[in-house]
Amino acid sequence: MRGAAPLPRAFVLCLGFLFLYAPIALVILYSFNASRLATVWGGWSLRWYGALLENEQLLASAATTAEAAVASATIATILGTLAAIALDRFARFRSRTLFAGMIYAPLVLPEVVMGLALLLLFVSLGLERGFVTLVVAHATLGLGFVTVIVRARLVGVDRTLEEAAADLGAGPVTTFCRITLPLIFPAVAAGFLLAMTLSLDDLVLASFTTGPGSTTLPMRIYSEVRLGVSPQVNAVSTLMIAFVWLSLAAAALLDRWRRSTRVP
Amino acid sequence: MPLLRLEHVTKRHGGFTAVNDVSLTIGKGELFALLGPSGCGKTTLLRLVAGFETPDQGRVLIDGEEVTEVPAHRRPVNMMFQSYALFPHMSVEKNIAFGLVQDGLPKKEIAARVADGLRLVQLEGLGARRPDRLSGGQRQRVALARALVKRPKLLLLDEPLAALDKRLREETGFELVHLQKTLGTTFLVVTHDQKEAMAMAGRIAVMRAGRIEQIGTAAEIYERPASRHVAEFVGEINLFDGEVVGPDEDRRKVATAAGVLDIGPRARFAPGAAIIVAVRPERVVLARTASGAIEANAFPGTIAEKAYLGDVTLYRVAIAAGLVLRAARPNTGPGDEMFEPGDSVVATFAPESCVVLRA
Repeated sequence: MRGAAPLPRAFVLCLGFLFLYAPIALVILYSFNASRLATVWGGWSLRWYGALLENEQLLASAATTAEAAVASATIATILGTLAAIALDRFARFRSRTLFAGMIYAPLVLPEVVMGLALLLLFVSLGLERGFVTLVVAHATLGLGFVTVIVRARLVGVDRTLEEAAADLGAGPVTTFCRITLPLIFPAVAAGFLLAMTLSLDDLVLASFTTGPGSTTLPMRIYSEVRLGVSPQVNAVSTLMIAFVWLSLAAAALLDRWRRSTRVP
Repeated sequence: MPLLRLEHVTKRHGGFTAVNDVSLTIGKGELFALLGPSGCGKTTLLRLVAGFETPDQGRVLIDGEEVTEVPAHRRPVNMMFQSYALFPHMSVEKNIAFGLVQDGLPKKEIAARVADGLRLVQLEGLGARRPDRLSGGQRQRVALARALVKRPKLLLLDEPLAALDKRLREETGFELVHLQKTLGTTFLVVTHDQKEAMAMAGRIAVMRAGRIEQIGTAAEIYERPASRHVAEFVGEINLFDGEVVGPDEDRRKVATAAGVLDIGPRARFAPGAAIIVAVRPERVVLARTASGAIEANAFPGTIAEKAYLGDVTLYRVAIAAGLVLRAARPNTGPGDEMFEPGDSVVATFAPESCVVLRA
């Protein structure tokens, strides 16, 4: 849009950002609100962050969420990376298309459907719902994303590098550890961070698959908001936003690093 | 005992036969070249020797031991890849040391061999660099050093000069030959460039469509090609399809579209046999008028095109029946006689210059 006047263009841009970020900005702003009422401004304060530290229920939920995020992201990263290698490096095996479709299904499946399916599975298996089922559900969700990211990187890694390693006497395991893994590592790390972020802010899957005693932070917030917005919820939301943004920034930095270590 | 022995090796990719019943023996210390156009199976053959692929039929023996089913990382051969395949996340030193580390050599020995390797390819002082900070020629040398420090029984080189620019290619080719002689390692080179193969290799195998058409020295392949394909692929050549006509004691005459050719005494071709007569352009003599010294194989014609290439001048001479004869004349000095397009000439060649191929 070279011909457009600069002022209207800037105005439109601001409207766009306002639309996207005004609600988030409000949450952050009100988390520093001194007033007891969540929607009335009463001056600056950090009191709700202080109150957070004494709300044991909320802290327990935060811990559950963090543990589930790390555990499920680790599982998703390992399985997702292996799936990417199977899809890209193995000879075309039978049912490869089916395999790829099943790996990528969670990317497009509505979360409600996936949550319901997992719930039915756990119930029919007789598994008690709790932390383990939560981790399994989140790992399933993250796996597809990790596979997509790692596979994209693998395509760019020249196969002859692996052949050269074999030619020089390295067996398959050594070749993977010393050649393939270092070259795809930025993608593996980015996949881990993405899987963790997905797990952190998931509400739907968690509602279906977790049980009493393993309530996640999003679930806790959701249930508290139904009773009226507490300023503490604003504070905890701000912390979550900060954490997710930092993770995404780290993923973006890793991506830039990946590009700079591109295979010639 | 031969170092490499291929026995009736066949490899199919889907419905395509990349290597078709190839048998080949390479002796210790040879510099052997596989020459052929792209898609002729030469690279597949190299990969079968390296162990990246397993033949569908046949056996591969290295130094008397059957390795047909042995995976690449357990074979006593090393390969220099066309793309060099240097590990981008490792320094030059680490790249060269990689194979030695896999062998579990002591650190001191590895360091000494890496230093030797760097010296061998004249890259001392560049050991700490990353591959992407090297020029094309330097990368080629690192790849060579990395393969050679393992002291393989057989070194495989896949188009070793193809990625270099033209000026560097000739020099590097000579260096490879020198290195091969010094080390005594057996080299198996794959190339599509006939000049490269002829300049470097002691023996050459010319491949086509998965089969070996001829094995011989550069001179044998150039002077006595075994088939039409070899004649056409290695250097320029004039071909005449014809039929032996007789009777004529031991001398043979051939009826072709260009006229009757005299191919000299060649008793093994009986009258009536369909053959191809091949003549290299540099054996074709051009003159303004018939000299009379050679009565046979004289073709009056007109110069159609001329290309001055410095060392030689190439001519295309339009002769009878719409045929074109290629002729090459060396440029020896300022007194050389030049022909221009449109000039009337007589092209001649001696009966002994003819190569006779079965049609």
